Amino acid sequence: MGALLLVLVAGSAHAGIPIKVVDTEIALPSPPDIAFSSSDENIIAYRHPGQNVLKLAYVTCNSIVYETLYDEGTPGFLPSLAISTLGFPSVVHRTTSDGFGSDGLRYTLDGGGLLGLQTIAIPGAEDGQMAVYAMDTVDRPYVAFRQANNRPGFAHFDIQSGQWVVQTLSTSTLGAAGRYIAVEVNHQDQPVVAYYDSNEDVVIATLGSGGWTTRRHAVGSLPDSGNLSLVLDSVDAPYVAICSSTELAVLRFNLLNVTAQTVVTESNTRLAPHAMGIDSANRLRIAFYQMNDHSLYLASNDFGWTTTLIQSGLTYDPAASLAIDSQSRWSVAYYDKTAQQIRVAGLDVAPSVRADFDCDGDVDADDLTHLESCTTGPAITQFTAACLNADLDDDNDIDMSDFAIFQLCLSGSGVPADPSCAE
Amino acid sequence: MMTGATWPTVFYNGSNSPILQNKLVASSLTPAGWSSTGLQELTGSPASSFVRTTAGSDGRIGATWLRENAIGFTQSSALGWQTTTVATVTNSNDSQHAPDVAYLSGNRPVVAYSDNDSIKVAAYDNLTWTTETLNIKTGNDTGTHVTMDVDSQDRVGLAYQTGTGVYFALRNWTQSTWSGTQVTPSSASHLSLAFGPNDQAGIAIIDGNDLSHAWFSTQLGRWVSDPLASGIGSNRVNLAFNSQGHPALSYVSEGKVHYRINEGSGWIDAVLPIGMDAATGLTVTPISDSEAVLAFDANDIPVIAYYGGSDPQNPQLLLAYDPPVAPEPTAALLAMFGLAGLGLRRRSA
Repeated sequence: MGALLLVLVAGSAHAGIPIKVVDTEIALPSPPDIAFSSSDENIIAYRHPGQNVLKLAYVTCNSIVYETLYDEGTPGFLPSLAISTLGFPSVVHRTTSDGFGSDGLRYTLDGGGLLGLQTIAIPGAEDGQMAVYAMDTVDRPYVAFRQANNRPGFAHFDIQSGQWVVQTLSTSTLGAAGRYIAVEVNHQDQPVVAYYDSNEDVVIATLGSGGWTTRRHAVGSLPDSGNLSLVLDSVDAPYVAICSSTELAVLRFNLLNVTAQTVVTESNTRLAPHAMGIDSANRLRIAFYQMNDHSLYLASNDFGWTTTLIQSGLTYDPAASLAIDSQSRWSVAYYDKTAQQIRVAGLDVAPSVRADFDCDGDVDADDLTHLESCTTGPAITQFTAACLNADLDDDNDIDMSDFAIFQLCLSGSGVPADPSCAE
Repeated sequence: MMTGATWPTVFYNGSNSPILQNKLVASSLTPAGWSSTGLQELTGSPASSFVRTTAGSDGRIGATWLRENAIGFTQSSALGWQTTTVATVTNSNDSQHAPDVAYLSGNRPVVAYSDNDSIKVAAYDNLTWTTETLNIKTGNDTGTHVTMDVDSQDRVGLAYQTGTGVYFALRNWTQSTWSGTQVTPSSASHLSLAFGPNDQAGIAIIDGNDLSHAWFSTQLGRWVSDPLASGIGSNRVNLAFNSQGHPALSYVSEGKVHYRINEGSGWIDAVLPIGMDAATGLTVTPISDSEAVLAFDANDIPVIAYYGGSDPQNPQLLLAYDPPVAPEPTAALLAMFGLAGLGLRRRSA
């Protein structure tokens, strides 16, 4: 199990959307991936090049907890994250020089105190890269990736043999140098893979009881460095987002045909594989990078497509990943090369007051109850993880000095607390 | 991992393991490999721990055992295995006094056991274990070999051996009255009770080397039984229902693992192949006195755990999947351990 570290990072607002710094000193591009826990906590997987580790960050309104998932060799390139029904995160990533005999795709499971922290090389995915990972309702993992020969690959864990099984989905190669492959799971727990191949088609492959069935749709030439993103709606119709030379578009694979929607008519847009999400009302959300104005946007199709600026002034593709929580709220994790930071934007990460322990915007009797339950007295270290946020003066104990800060922030029930109250 | 539905967890005695030696071990198969945890020291005599297991509605796994006059209980959680002592007993540590476990609604564990031949049931209310002694009007409320399950209406069912045969007792957990009836006047050396998805009860009965399945006939208004096999090597059996309500069980007889299921037209006997499994290179022949415990996963695929291999003195714990479909059972080698108490989590009804 990796070491846990509790750090509070001040938030900053951009264009009305709360943004929080997740980690710093990320000197090299590091595309993150994001998912929500069952309690709607943001979980972000990313490679920290300076620390040379694959990390997880658990982001709540008033804290970030870090965990090192893997630190062997040169780990954690292009991580893809999924959360199990018991809340255990697992990540598929590319790692080199870690002693598994060959570089390639790794599966890391953080099984907590029950199953422990384990990493294995996915057999047959030697030299695999650019993996995208999804999990079905009973926690079976499915991985779509670019094989060494640039063909679309698919890996799943076969419980009957206790082994990973790797397949090549097509004799055609993927269409360009980008990731251009994604996987999701439909409501029948069948994996659905979307990829863009050398025929300049977007292909949808579904694994049913009779094997793979495929559909394809011609889309023309797509940029070399691009990706596609895949989601399935409530009737399992695949939506595929692609960036062409003229627009960001979404294809819906209907029963009999394919319909296309233009999201934005702009050249030079970019997507990450998990850039698109769909909520319970079938509303799409897409995080995309506009290279022309160096900005990250959110596109929403509530009543026609609208775009909202998340952050401007980016100098490199932020490889933004998007997730939607149980209340249809979105979060976007991305890389800011200028600031050398991993950041997360969304309503769930709204800046808050440290003394607002329950993250409801006020500091009231409920928060006082938490402080009292965590009190240790002077110079007595608080070890309970759930109480570490009560150490408001950062001296490891929970005592009267913490209570004094709490009093400065006390606002009363339903009254927004002053974010600068503790300064 | 959703260990209560997708990924199997096997409980066994790690007697020969260099790391988990003489411990009751829980091993879960995950996509990252086997994850094993030592739950309980098993030093002293006897070596067996008489484990029985169950699964909760949220995927948690519970297990109970008898060890040195203590009834132990453990269950999985995201934080790890939570282990506690349910009660101390005054009887000898043998299989006829082994406890059984199930979950009431809300995933409240309930454990049944025989304490000096009194049948007791202990339920956990998230604070303490509350224990009561079985008291039914027929007077047949003392015995051994107790087995238990909970139906969809939170009714606790018990089957147990008395001096006059096998009895079944039932109680709605929100009420205090038990009702009881005789299942068979024959004796039993092992019992396994399970409720199907329609709350039908079944009891697998081992009497010496004979195996039978008892079920309640609503037409006749009494329990009836189907003889299934004689001369079996297993001294324990797990009865399990799949989601279609079909009862199934597995056992070792004459050097082969048998998987029996009744899909409505009588019992089908599927025999797992023996010898070298071409797919895995494992010798999948069971040792003659192995148990063969059965569970169904979330997709109704039967999973059987048993001890086998080419060296009976140093057997391997094997998992076999889907024997009636696959011409060759795909077997996964768990580890090399000595024979001891073995349990596989079974699917909740």
